[in-house]
Amino acid sequence: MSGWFKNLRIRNKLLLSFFAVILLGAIALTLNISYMINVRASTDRMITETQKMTALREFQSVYSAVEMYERSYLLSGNEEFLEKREESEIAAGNLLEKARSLAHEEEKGEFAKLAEMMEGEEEFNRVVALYQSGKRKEAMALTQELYSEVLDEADVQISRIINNAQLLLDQINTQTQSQVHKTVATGFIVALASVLLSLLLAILLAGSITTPIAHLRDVAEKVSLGDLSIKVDVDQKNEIGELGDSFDRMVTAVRFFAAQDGEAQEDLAGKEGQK
Amino acid sequence: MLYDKILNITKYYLGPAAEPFLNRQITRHLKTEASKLEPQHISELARWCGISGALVMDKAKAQEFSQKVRSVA
Repeated sequence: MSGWFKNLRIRNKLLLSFFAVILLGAIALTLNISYMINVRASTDRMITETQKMTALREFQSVYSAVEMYERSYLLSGNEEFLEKREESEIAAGNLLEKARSLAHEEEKGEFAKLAEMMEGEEEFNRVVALYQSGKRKEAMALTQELYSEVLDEADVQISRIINNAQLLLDQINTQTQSQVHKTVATGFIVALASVLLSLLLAILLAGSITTPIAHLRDVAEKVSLGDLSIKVDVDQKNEIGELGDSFDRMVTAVRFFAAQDGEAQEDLAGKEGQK
Repeated sequence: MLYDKILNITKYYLGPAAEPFLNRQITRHLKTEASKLEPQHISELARWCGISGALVMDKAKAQEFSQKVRSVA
């Protein structure tokens, strides 16, 4: 046992042990909170990426419907399809805006390109004009030409964004798993360390209290049986040490009172001292 | 006054035996009485405290006791 711990007062030993375990717990809690904050941030990013991907997929589907309603109008001449086309175009625009709001800074350019591709109002007016002037075939051909190009390009663009988002999701997922593993490992290590530290402190505390008390018990036992030659040996500067000193003083007094031939011994010792 | 000072020191080492121990050193070795203890007695008293003390306590402790008595002077 190290000297400084041995000489601490019992109250301070108990407080020190208590604070050591509390400190360990506080460190573990801080680490776990920091890990949980990271996990929370990763989860938020995963949610954002997922929402962006979902919005883009919905956009793809809704924008295909725009083309479908336009063709349906050109084939049937039914103006209800024009209204539906209009609704779908607005919905597609909203979905694209939603996806764009969730995009990273470096993705903004790609979203701007997508938005640019979707701006086909003038072309649409040309198609309608052709159709209304009786040039149905030309109108159909123009629609075909416009949408095939735009949709293909949009598909490429969207696939690229979704692939990047998927990669990012995988990366975040790996990081999150690592954080969770760290949290579990930290919890386990700290629990183990707390148990070991508590055990060590309990052994030190028990040893520093019970060993000298057992020694004093042995001394009392021997003195009570008449053995006054025993030495009180308590090497601590705390309550236990003070108890040992008191006990030593008491044994010394008993020795003095019990010494039947004390004076003769003193005289002899005095003569030897003078030599 | 001087006696009381030395008695207090002795009590730390001999507890309830302090008074009879000190009185014995004064009467037997200094050939005087506790009430007549003078500063010139201290050196001899300290020597006897060391010698007699070593019979009932650890030698190092008896030496320390002797030094403390001597320091009263």
